[in-house]
Amino acid sequence: MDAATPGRLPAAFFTPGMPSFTEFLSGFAAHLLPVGRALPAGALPDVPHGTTIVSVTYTDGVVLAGDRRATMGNLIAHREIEKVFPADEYSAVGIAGTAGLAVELVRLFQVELEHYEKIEGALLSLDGKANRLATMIRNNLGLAMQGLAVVPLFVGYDLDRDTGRIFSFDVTGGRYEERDHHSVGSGALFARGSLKKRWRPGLDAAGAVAVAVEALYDAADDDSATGGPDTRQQVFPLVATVSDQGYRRVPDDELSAAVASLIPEERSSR
Amino acid sequence: MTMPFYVSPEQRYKENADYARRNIARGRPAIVLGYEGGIAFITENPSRSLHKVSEIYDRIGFAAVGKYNEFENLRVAGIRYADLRGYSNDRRDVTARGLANAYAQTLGAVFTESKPLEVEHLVSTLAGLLTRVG
Repeated sequence: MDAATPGRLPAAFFTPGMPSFTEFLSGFAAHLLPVGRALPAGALPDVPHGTTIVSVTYTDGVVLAGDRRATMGNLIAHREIEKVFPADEYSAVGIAGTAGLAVELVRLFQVELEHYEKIEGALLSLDGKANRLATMIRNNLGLAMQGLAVVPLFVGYDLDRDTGRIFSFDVTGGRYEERDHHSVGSGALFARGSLKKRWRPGLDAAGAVAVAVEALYDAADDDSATGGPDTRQQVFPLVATVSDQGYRRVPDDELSAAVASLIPEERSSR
Repeated sequence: MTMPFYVSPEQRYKENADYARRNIARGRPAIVLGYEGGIAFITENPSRSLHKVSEIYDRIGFAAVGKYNEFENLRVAGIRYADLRGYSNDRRDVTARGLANAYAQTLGAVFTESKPLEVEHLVSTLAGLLTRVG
């Protein structure tokens, strides 16, 4: 706060023509930014890493799903971590990589989109949102090169084109649009193999959810860092759909049906 | 060297207040009223790009009359205040009372040190607080 008049809003709050929250924060309180800081010297301790995220398009939108495991070296750091988040009403982001940084980055991205919408009175285009996220990832390049990479998967419903779209990113901030389906994280190779075989054009939402859950199941089967569904403790993957109706988290009872139908089928086929 | 005329604080404040009030009165009114299910914001707005009524945060709204560029600055500052609080703490920690206090301090400081803002605005929240600032 302004030293001259305690309680008064500082001058930085009145800078006109700046609808970006990140830009405002980097000028006013850069220490709150999750990215752009230098690492202290010394060896990096083991920190939790998020693992596999998959996305699948369907006729009315796009599905984004993530397993619930975080790993720390050879340990399971968390069994119920949530790695899929609504970015705003019509988009979602899933994260793989350093969990602490990634979750904070998603929080910043959520505020960024909401901030823009409130100040401008309009939504950013889906490409605009993807570009904003790319810039944030690029700003983290220094930490990524020291082992703290964050790799998001961004999906959204494009209101101008009336279709669901998927964007992947690399640590340098490269932004790539993916066709039909995609996956990132340690189990991505196995998930992608599953998606290639199971995805088909014309899927409905329930079909796309089933494909995504099965891809995560296949990833968990081969990748020790990806957690499979835990029917005993009722821990299921976090699955969301994004369509012209907005973001919707698929409730566990719907997922448990998808998982139950999946496991016997898997068993009988082996 | 010329000496400025002495103006008593009372006279200066009165002139500032009259100046602000006169110019605010030229604008079209905004009405904010509570009802059982929430708070309604009503105003005549000739332009879709003019934000006379705006969302500040989850349950905090803003309505203003007066000089557009001045209350637009206040609106944007309010959004920055709320988003910064919510980001560095939690969404539940953003309160209309805190924002109204920050606005009051800001308007008060500007009123005494330079040209007063020709703005009258309301901050309201669903918790039932309706604060008039200006």
